[in-house]
Amino acid sequence: MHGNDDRLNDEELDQVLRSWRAPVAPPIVHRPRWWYWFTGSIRVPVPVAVCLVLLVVAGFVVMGRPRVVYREVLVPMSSISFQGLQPVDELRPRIIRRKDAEN
Amino acid sequence: MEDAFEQYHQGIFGFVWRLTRRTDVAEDVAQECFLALMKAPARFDDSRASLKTYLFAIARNLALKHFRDNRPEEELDDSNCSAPVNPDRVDIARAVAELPPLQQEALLLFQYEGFTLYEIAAITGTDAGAVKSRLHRARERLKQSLAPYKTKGVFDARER
Repeated sequence: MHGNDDRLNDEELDQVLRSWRAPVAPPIVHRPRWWYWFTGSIRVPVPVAVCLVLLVVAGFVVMGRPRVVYREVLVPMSSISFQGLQPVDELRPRIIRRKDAEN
Repeated sequence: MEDAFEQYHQGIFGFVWRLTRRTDVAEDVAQECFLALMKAPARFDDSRASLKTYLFAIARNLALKHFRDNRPEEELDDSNCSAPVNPDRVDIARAVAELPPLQQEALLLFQYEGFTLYEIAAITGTDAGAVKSRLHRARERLKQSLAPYKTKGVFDARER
């Protein structure tokens, strides 16, 4: 600690403070509007950010799964032949009940 | 508007720079002050305060917002200073930075921007008595913390 004699007086303090000068303000640069799209920032609440991250992760999981492709096989009509097809002589419908089916 | 910019831009920049020691923050705040005035000129009521007081009040609020958002991570970093390094100046900056924020702003507005106690009271939203008290305490503290200037013989050297 300094004694009272070592302390600055008002005049000395003013003199010291005057020697602290701020730098000259840089000229304002007028930037194009698109610049702010690259340098701008937005605040996102944590729950919203977490939901967005989960959505993105879920999207990647769904996209990354192997997809089952059902292909319809088209057979040209010209290759189908009905030559071996015989009409049914006698229709014998048989009714199978549940208890019969178990036996 | 251009006149106001010419007149107060450097002052606002200097005030925020001395508060934050950050050239980029001072630049942003100075720009935002004038943008705020351009966006809502009706908010400025010249019967309540001068344009200078109004602009410095905006600058002060933006600087406080910066402190609230960044103060815990920020240290007094002399490398952020774009002015040439001068050991004397760094000591003064450190001594001022060690003052409580309310004393700092009162001192900076009074000492460097030439505001009266009443104008500082209008900027900081308090009464002139409180400003006077803060200013007094700030100066007393600085007389002590900057005392090494006396023993360094700075005043003798300058007087010669």
